[in-house]
Amino acid sequence: MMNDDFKNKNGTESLNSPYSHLSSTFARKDLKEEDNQYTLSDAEPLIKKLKSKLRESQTGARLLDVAESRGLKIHLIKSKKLQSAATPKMELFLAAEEKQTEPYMIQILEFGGALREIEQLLLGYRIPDDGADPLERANIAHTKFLDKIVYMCKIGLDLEVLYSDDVKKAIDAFGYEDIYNAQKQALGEDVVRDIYLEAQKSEVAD
Amino acid sequence: MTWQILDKPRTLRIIGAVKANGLGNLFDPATTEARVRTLPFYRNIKLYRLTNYATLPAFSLFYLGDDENYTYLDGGFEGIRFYNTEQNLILNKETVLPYLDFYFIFVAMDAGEIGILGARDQYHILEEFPSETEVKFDAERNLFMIKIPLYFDGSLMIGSIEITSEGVVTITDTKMSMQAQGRQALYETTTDY
Repeated sequence: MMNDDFKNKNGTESLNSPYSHLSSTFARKDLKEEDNQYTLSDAEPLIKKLKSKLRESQTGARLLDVAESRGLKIHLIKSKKLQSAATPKMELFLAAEEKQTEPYMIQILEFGGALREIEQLLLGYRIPDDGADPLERANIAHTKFLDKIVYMCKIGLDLEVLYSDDVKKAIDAFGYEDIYNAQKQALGEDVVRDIYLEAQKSEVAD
Repeated sequence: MTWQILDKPRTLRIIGAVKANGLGNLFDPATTEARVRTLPFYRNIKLYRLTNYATLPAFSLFYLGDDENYTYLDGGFEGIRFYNTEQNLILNKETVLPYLDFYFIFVAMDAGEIGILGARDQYHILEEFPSETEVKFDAERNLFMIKIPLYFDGSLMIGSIEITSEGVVTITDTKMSMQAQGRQALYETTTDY
Protein backbone atom coordinates (compact mmCIF):
# COMPACT_ATOMS: atom_id res chain seq x y z
CA MET A 1 0.00 0.00 0.00
CA MET A 2 1.26 3.45 -0.84
CA ASN A 3 1.92 6.15 1.65
CA ASP A 4 -0.83 8.76 1.69
CA ASP A 5 1.77 11.37 0.73
CA PHE A 6 1.80 9.88 -2.78
CA LYS A 7 -1.94 9.94 -3.29
CA ASN A 8 -3.73 12.56 -5.30
CA LYS A 9 -6.24 14.79 -3.56
CA ASN A 10 -9.09 12.68 -4.89
CA GLY A 11 -7.51 9.60 -3.36
CA THR A 12 -6.47 7.90 -6.60
CA GLU A 13 -3.00 6.40 -6.63
CA SER A 14 -1.25 7.66 -9.72
CA LEU A 15 2.30 8.09 -8.46
CA ASN A 16 4.31 5.00 -7.77
CA SER A 17 7.74 6.34 -6.92
CA PRO A 18 8.78 8.25 -3.81
CA TYR A 19 10.49 10.66 -6.21
CA SER A 20 7.64 10.95 -8.64
CA HIS A 21 6.35 14.10 -6.97
CA LEU A 22 9.42 15.78 -8.47
CA SER A 23 8.75 14.58 -12.00
CA SER A 24 5.14 15.54 -11.51
CA THR A 25 6.21 19.08 -10.73
CA PHE A 26 8.26 19.27 -13.91
CA ALA A 27 5.62 17.49 -15.98
CA ARG A 28 3.02 20.02 -14.90
CA LYS A 29 5.33 22.83 -15.95
CA ASP A 30 5.81 21.19 -19.36
CA LEU A 31 2.10 20.72 -19.82
CA LYS A 32 1.47 24.32 -18.88
CA GLU A 33 3.96 25.42 -21.51
CA GLU A 34 2.26 23.14 -24.04
CA ASP A 35 -1.07 24.72 -23.12
CA ASN A 36 0.32 28.15 -23.84
CA GLN A 37 0.62 27.27 -27.50
CA TYR A 38 -3.16 26.79 -27.69
CA THR A 39 -4.90 28.85 -25.06
CA LEU A 40 -4.84 32.54 -24.25
CA SER A 41 -2.33 33.35 -21.53
CA ASP A 42 -5.00 35.25 -19.59
CA ALA A 43 -8.36 33.96 -20.78
CA GLU A 44 -10.47 34.55 -17.69
CA PRO A 45 -11.24 38.27 -18.17
CA LEU A 46 -12.37 37.66 -21.77
CA ILE A 47 -14.45 34.63 -20.76
CA LYS A 48 -16.20 36.76 -18.12
CA LYS A 49 -16.98 39.45 -20.70
CA LEU A 50 -18.24 36.88 -23.22
CA LYS A 51 -20.57 35.41 -20.62
CA SER A 52 -21.73 38.83 -19.49
CA LYS A 53 -22.60 39.91 -23.04
CA LEU A 54 -24.30 36.61 -23.82
CA ARG A 55 -26.40 36.92 -20.66
CA GLU A 56 -27.93 40.07 -22.12
CA SER A 57 -29.80 37.66 -24.39
CA GLN A 58 -32.52 35.61 -22.73
CA THR A 59 -31.73 32.67 -24.99
CA GLY A 60 -28.01 33.00 -24.34
CA ALA A 61 -28.50 33.21 -20.57
CA ARG A 62 -30.60 30.04 -20.57
CA LEU A 63 -28.04 28.11 -22.64
CA LEU A 64 -25.25 29.30 -20.35
CA ASP A 65 -27.18 28.33 -17.20
CA VAL A 66 -27.83 24.82 -18.54
CA ALA A 67 -24.20 24.27 -19.57
CA GLU A 68 -22.76 25.74 -16.36
CA SER A 69 -25.02 23.57 -14.23
CA ARG A 70 -23.41 20.56 -15.95
CA GLY A 71 -19.82 21.70 -15.35
CA LEU A 72 -19.06 23.64 -18.54
CA LYS A 73 -15.35 24.15 -19.21
CA ILE A 74 -14.46 26.92 -21.64
CA HIS A 75 -11.19 26.88 -23.59
CA LEU A 76 -10.30 30.00 -25.56
CA ILE A 77 -8.09 28.71 -28.35
CA LYS A 78 -5.73 31.03 -30.16
CA SER A 79 -6.90 30.84 -33.74
CA LYS A 80 -7.11 33.27 -36.62
CA LYS A 81 -10.22 31.54 -37.88
CA LEU A 82 -13.41 32.08 -35.88
CA GLN A 83 -14.67 28.65 -34.94
CA SER A 84 -16.03 26.70 -32.02
CA ALA A 85 -16.45 23.12 -30.89
CA ALA A 86 -18.25 21.24 -28.13
CA THR A 87 -17.48 17.81 -26.71
CA PRO A 88 -19.61 15.35 -24.71
CA LYS A 89 -17.32 16.10 -21.74
CA MET A 90 -18.91 19.56 -21.51
CA GLU A 91 -15.86 21.24 -23.03
CA LEU A 92 -16.43 24.27 -25.20
CA PHE A 93 -13.65 25.53 -27.47
CA LEU A 94 -13.89 29.02 -28.88
CA ALA A 95 -11.40 30.83 -31.10
CA ALA A 96 -9.95 34.06 -29.76
CA GLU A 97 -6.99 36.32 -30.44
CA GLU A 98 -4.04 36.35 -28.08
CA LYS A 99 -4.21 40.08 -27.34
CA GLN A 100 -7.98 40.32 -27.40
CA THR A 101 -9.56 42.11 -24.45
CA GLU A 102 -13.13 42.71 -25.64
CA PRO A 103 -15.51 40.15 -27.17
CA TYR A 104 -16.66 40.63 -30.77
CA MET A 105 -20.35 40.26 -31.58
CA ILE A 106 -19.56 37.52 -34.13
CA GLN A 107 -17.71 35.68 -31.37
CA ILE A 108 -20.60 36.11 -28.89
CA LEU A 109 -22.98 34.54 -31.42
CA GLU A 110 -20.50 31.70 -32.10
CA PHE A 111 -20.21 31.17 -28.34
CA GLY A 112 -24.01 30.92 -28.11
CA GLY A 113 -24.05 28.46 -31.00
CA ALA A 114 -21.45 26.28 -29.28
CA LEU A 115 -23.53 26.34 -26.09
CA ARG A 116 -26.49 25.10 -28.11
CA GLU A 117 -24.25 22.28 -29.35
CA ILE A 118 -23.51 21.47 -25.71
CA GLU A 119 -27.26 21.36 -25.08
CA GLN A 120 -27.73 19.09 -28.12
CA LEU A 121 -25.16 16.72 -26.62
CA LEU A 122 -26.95 16.82 -23.26
CA LEU A 123 -30.14 15.86 -25.07
CA GLY A 124 -28.29 12.90 -26.60
CA TYR A 125 -28.31 14.40 -30.07
CA ARG A 126 -24.93 13.74 -31.63
CA ILE A 127 -23.48 12.89 -35.02
CA PRO A 128 -23.20 9.09 -35.37
CA ASP A 129 -19.73 7.55 -35.74
CA ASP A 130 -18.12 6.95 -39.14
CA GLY A 131 -19.66 3.47 -39.48
CA ALA A 132 -23.24 4.75 -39.47
CA ASP A 133 -25.44 5.00 -42.55
CA PRO A 134 -24.09 8.02 -44.51
CA LEU A 135 -27.56 9.39 -45.28
CA GLU A 136 -28.61 9.17 -41.65
CA ARG A 137 -25.33 10.77 -40.64
CA ALA A 138 -25.78 13.64 -43.10
CA ASN A 139 -29.40 14.12 -42.04
CA ILE A 140 -28.48 14.41 -38.37
CA ALA A 141 -25.50 16.66 -39.14
CA HIS A 142 -27.65 19.10 -41.14
CA THR A 143 -30.43 19.07 -38.56
CA LYS A 144 -27.92 19.84 -35.81
CA PHE A 145 -26.29 22.58 -37.85
CA LEU A 146 -29.59 24.25 -38.72
CA ASP A 147 -30.64 24.08 -35.08
CA LYS A 148 -27.37 25.75 -34.09
CA ILE A 149 -27.87 28.53 -36.66
CA VAL A 150 -31.45 29.07 -35.48
CA TYR A 151 -30.21 29.55 -31.91
CA MET A 152 -27.45 31.92 -33.02
CA CYS A 153 -30.11 33.98 -34.81
CA LYS A 154 -32.36 33.87 -31.71
CA ILE A 155 -29.51 35.31 -29.66
CA GLY A 156 -28.93 37.92 -32.37
CA LEU A 157 -32.62 38.89 -32.26
CA ASP A 158 -32.44 39.22 -28.46
CA LEU A 159 -29.36 41.44 -28.71
CA GLU A 160 -30.56 43.51 -31.65
CA VAL A 161 -32.24 46.12 -29.45
CA LEU A 162 -28.92 46.77 -27.72
CA TYR A 163 -26.40 46.31 -30.54
CA SER A 164 -28.34 46.65 -33.78
CA ASP A 165 -25.47 47.40 -36.19
CA ASP A 166 -23.06 44.92 -34.61
CA VAL A 167 -25.62 42.13 -34.75
CA LYS A 168 -26.45 42.85 -38.39
CA LYS A 169 -22.77 42.86 -39.37
CA ALA A 170 -22.14 39.63 -37.49
CA ILE A 171 -25.13 37.85 -39.03
CA ASP A 172 -24.05 39.07 -42.50
CA ALA A 173 -20.50 37.83 -41.89
CA PHE A 174 -21.87 34.38 -41.09
CA GLY A 175 -24.10 34.53 -44.18
CA TYR A 176 -27.20 33.80 -42.04
CA GLU A 177 -29.16 36.94 -42.94
CA ASP A 178 -31.97 35.10 -44.76
CA ILE A 179 -32.59 32.74 -41.85
CA TYR A 180 -32.28 35.65 -39.42
CA ASN A 181 -34.85 37.73 -41.31
CA ALA A 182 -37.20 34.74 -41.63
CA GLN A 183 -37.07 34.28 -37.87
CA LYS A 184 -37.50 38.00 -37.30
CA GLN A 185 -40.66 37.92 -39.40
CA ALA A 186 -41.79 34.71 -37.68
CA LEU A 187 -42.19 32.97 -41.05
CA GLY A 188 -42.08 29.56 -39.45
CA GLU A 189 -39.83 26.52 -39.28
CA ASP A 190 -40.64 25.28 -42.78
CA VAL A 191 -39.50 28.52 -44.39
CA VAL A 192 -36.30 28.53 -42.33
CA ARG A 193 -35.62 24.93 -43.30
CA ASP A 194 -36.20 25.69 -46.99
CA ILE A 195 -33.79 28.63 -46.86
CA TYR A 196 -31.16 26.39 -45.30
CA LEU A 197 -31.67 23.64 -47.87
CA GLU A 198 -31.45 26.11 -50.76
CA ALA A 199 -28.21 27.50 -49.34
CA GLN A 200 -26.75 24.00 -49.01
CA LYS A 201 -27.74 23.19 -52.61
CA SER A 202 -26.00 26.38 -53.81
CA GLU A 203 -22.85 25.46 -51.91
CA VAL A 204 -22.80 22.01 -53.47
CA ALA A 205 -23.38 23.53 -56.93
CA ASP A 206 -20.47 25.96 -56.40
CA MET B 1 -0.13 20.11 -53.57
CA THR B 2 -3.49 18.81 -52.40
CA TRP B 3 -4.25 17.35 -48.99
CA GLN B 4 -3.48 13.73 -48.28
CA ILE B 5 -5.71 12.06 -45.67
CA LEU B 6 -3.59 10.16 -43.16
CA ASP B 7 -4.38 6.65 -41.97
CA LYS B 8 -5.55 5.93 -38.43
CA PRO B 9 -2.15 5.01 -36.93
CA ARG B 10 -0.54 8.22 -38.21
CA THR B 11 -3.59 10.23 -37.11
CA LEU B 12 -3.29 8.76 -33.62
CA ARG B 13 0.43 9.59 -33.54
CA ILE B 14 -0.27 13.21 -34.38
CA ILE B 15 -3.09 13.51 -31.84
CA GLY B 16 -0.69 12.11 -29.22
CA ALA B 17 2.11 14.44 -30.26
CA VAL B 18 0.06 17.64 -30.08
CA LYS B 19 -1.85 16.74 -26.92
CA ALA B 20 -2.02 19.31 -24.14
CA ASN B 21 -4.40 20.16 -21.32
CA GLY B 22 -5.70 23.12 -23.29
CA LEU B 23 -6.98 20.78 -26.00
CA GLY B 24 -8.97 18.59 -23.60
CA ASN B 25 -10.89 16.02 -25.62
CA LEU B 26 -11.17 18.17 -28.72
CA PHE B 27 -9.51 15.58 -30.93
CA ASP B 28 -11.19 12.30 -30.11
CA PRO B 29 -9.58 9.67 -32.36
CA ALA B 30 -13.03 8.36 -33.34
CA THR B 31 -14.09 11.67 -34.86
CA THR B 32 -10.80 13.24 -35.92
CA GLU B 33 -9.18 13.26 -39.32
CA ALA B 34 -5.56 14.23 -39.97
CA ARG B 35 -4.32 15.53 -43.30
CA VAL B 36 -0.96 16.60 -44.63
CA ARG B 37 0.20 18.60 -47.62
CA THR B 38 3.52 19.77 -48.89
CA LEU B 39 4.29 23.45 -49.25
CA PRO B 40 6.35 24.65 -52.22
CA PHE B 41 8.45 26.95 -50.02
CA TYR B 42 9.50 24.37 -47.41
CA ARG B 43 12.05 21.66 -48.07
CA ASN B 44 11.52 19.41 -45.03
CA ILE B 45 8.41 20.71 -43.34
CA LYS B 46 4.81 20.00 -44.17
CA LEU B 47 1.47 21.47 -43.21
CA TYR B 48 -0.79 19.28 -41.07
CA ARG B 49 -4.46 19.72 -40.32
CA LEU B 50 -6.42 18.05 -37.53
CA THR B 51 -10.19 18.23 -37.94
CA ASN B 52 -12.91 17.34 -35.47
CA TYR B 53 -15.91 16.31 -37.57
CA ALA B 54 -18.23 15.77 -34.60
CA THR B 55 -18.84 19.49 -34.28
CA LEU B 56 -20.49 21.78 -36.79
CA PRO B 57 -19.05 23.29 -38.82
CA ALA B 58 -15.96 21.08 -38.46
CA PHE B 59 -13.24 22.47 -36.17
CA SER B 60 -9.69 22.46 -37.57
CA LEU B 61 -6.28 23.34 -36.21
CA PHE B 62 -3.17 23.61 -38.38
CA TYR B 63 0.41 22.68 -37.60
CA LEU B 64 3.80 22.83 -39.27
CA GLY B 65 5.84 19.72 -38.67
CA ASP B 66 8.24 17.04 -39.80
CA ASP B 67 6.13 13.97 -38.95
CA GLU B 68 7.58 13.86 -35.43
CA ASN B 69 7.36 17.36 -34.03
CA TYR B 70 4.53 19.76 -34.69
CA THR B 71 4.13 23.47 -34.09
CA TYR B 72 0.64 24.86 -33.76
CA LEU B 73 -0.12 27.81 -36.05
CA ASP B 74 -1.77 30.11 -33.52
CA GLY B 75 -2.00 33.30 -35.59
CA GLY B 76 1.45 34.51 -34.60
CA PHE B 77 4.62 34.47 -36.70
CA GLU B 78 6.92 32.74 -34.19
CA GLY B 79 5.79 29.21 -35.07
CA ILE B 80 6.51 29.89 -38.75
CA ARG B 81 9.77 31.74 -38.07
CA PHE B 82 11.02 28.65 -36.20
CA TYR B 83 11.01 26.70 -39.49
CA ASN B 84 12.28 29.51 -41.70
CA THR B 85 15.86 28.30 -41.61
CA GLU B 86 18.34 28.42 -44.47
CA GLN B 87 18.13 24.62 -44.78
CA ASN B 88 14.36 24.60 -44.95
CA LEU B 89 12.91 27.78 -46.46
CA ILE B 90 13.02 28.03 -50.24
CA LEU B 91 12.20 31.53 -51.41
CA ASN B 92 12.51 32.29 -55.11
CA LYS B 93 10.33 33.92 -57.76
CA GLU B 94 8.16 30.80 -57.98
CA THR B 95 7.67 30.22 -54.26
CA VAL B 96 7.60 33.69 -52.79
CA LEU B 97 3.96 34.37 -53.73
CA PRO B 98 2.63 31.07 -52.32
CA TYR B 99 4.63 31.89 -49.17
CA LEU B 100 3.02 35.34 -48.98
CA ASP B 101 -0.45 33.84 -49.36
CA PHE B 102 0.33 31.27 -46.65
CA TYR B 103 1.58 34.08 -44.40
CA PHE B 104 -1.57 36.17 -44.82
CA ILE B 105 -3.77 33.14 -44.12
CA PHE B 106 -2.00 32.04 -40.95
CA VAL B 107 -0.57 35.20 -39.41
CA ALA B 108 -2.88 37.75 -37.79
CA MET B 109 -1.94 41.26 -38.88
CA ASP B 110 -2.28 44.35 -36.69
CA ALA B 111 -3.89 46.20 -39.63
CA GLY B 112 -6.78 43.70 -39.74
CA GLU B 113 -7.72 41.18 -42.40
CA ILE B 114 -5.37 41.19 -45.38
CA GLY B 115 -5.47 38.77 -48.29
CA ILE B 116 -4.42 38.34 -51.89
CA LEU B 117 -7.17 38.83 -54.48
CA GLY B 118 -7.98 35.96 -56.76
CA ALA B 119 -10.11 32.86 -57.24
CA ARG B 120 -9.38 29.95 -54.95
CA ASP B 121 -9.91 26.24 -55.47
CA GLN B 122 -11.81 23.94 -53.11
CA TYR B 123 -8.74 23.81 -50.85
CA HIS B 124 -8.59 27.63 -50.74
CA ILE B 125 -5.38 27.62 -52.73
CA LEU B 126 -5.11 30.55 -55.12
CA GLU B 127 -5.58 29.23 -58.63
CA GLU B 128 -3.51 32.07 -60.04
CA PHE B 129 -2.02 35.23 -58.68
CA PRO B 130 -3.32 38.60 -59.95
CA SER B 131 -1.86 39.58 -63.33
CA GLU B 132 -0.86 43.02 -61.97
CA THR B 133 1.54 41.37 -59.52
CA GLU B 134 5.20 42.38 -59.76
CA VAL B 135 7.97 40.39 -58.10
CA LYS B 136 11.54 41.70 -57.95
CA PHE B 137 14.58 40.46 -56.06
CA ASP B 138 16.79 43.13 -54.51
CA ALA B 139 20.16 41.36 -54.39
CA GLU B 140 21.82 44.16 -52.45
CA ARG B 141 19.30 43.96 -49.61
CA ASN B 142 18.71 40.23 -50.11
CA LEU B 143 14.94 40.51 -50.13
CA PHE B 144 11.96 40.22 -52.45
CA MET B 145 9.94 43.32 -53.30
CA ILE B 146 6.39 42.61 -54.36
CA LYS B 147 3.55 44.77 -55.63
CA ILE B 148 0.24 42.95 -55.50
CA PRO B 149 -3.51 43.73 -55.30
CA LEU B 150 -4.73 43.09 -51.78
CA TYR B 151 -7.88 43.02 -49.78
CA PHE B 152 -6.76 45.31 -46.97
CA ASP B 153 -9.08 45.48 -43.99
CA GLY B 154 -12.19 46.21 -46.04
CA SER B 155 -10.54 48.10 -48.91
CA LEU B 156 -8.95 46.99 -52.14
CA MET B 157 -5.39 48.23 -52.48
CA ILE B 158 -2.13 47.69 -54.25
CA GLY B 159 0.28 46.65 -51.53
CA SER B 160 4.06 47.04 -51.61
CA ILE B 161 5.61 44.23 -49.62
CA GLU B 162 9.11 43.16 -48.69
CA ILE B 163 10.00 39.59 -47.77
CA THR B 164 13.42 38.83 -46.32
CA SER B 165 15.32 35.58 -46.80
CA GLU B 166 14.09 34.60 -43.28
CA GLY B 167 10.50 34.99 -44.45
CA VAL B 168 9.78 38.19 -42.52
CA VAL B 169 6.96 40.04 -44.30
CA THR B 170 6.66 43.82 -44.13
CA ILE B 171 3.98 45.86 -45.86
CA THR B 172 5.82 49.03 -46.77
CA ASP B 173 3.03 50.87 -48.58
CA THR B 174 -0.57 50.58 -49.73
CA LYS B 175 -2.33 52.57 -52.43
CA MET B 176 -5.93 52.63 -53.56
CA SER B 177 -6.26 50.94 -56.93
CA MET B 178 -8.92 51.13 -59.59
CA GLN B 179 -7.63 47.86 -61.03
CA ALA B 180 -8.00 46.24 -57.65
CA GLN B 181 -11.54 47.62 -57.34
CA GLY B 182 -12.38 45.80 -60.55
CA ARG B 183 -11.27 42.56 -58.95
CA GLN B 184 -13.46 42.98 -55.87
CA ALA B 185 -15.74 40.13 -56.88
CA LEU B 186 -12.75 37.81 -56.91
CA TYR B 187 -11.90 38.27 -53.26
CA GLU B 188 -12.95 35.38 -51.12
CA THR B 189 -12.36 35.66 -47.41
CA THR B 190 -10.44 32.69 -46.17
CA THR B 191 -8.66 31.70 -43.04
CA ASP B 192 -8.68 28.13 -44.25
CA TYR B 193 -6.19 26.28 -46.38
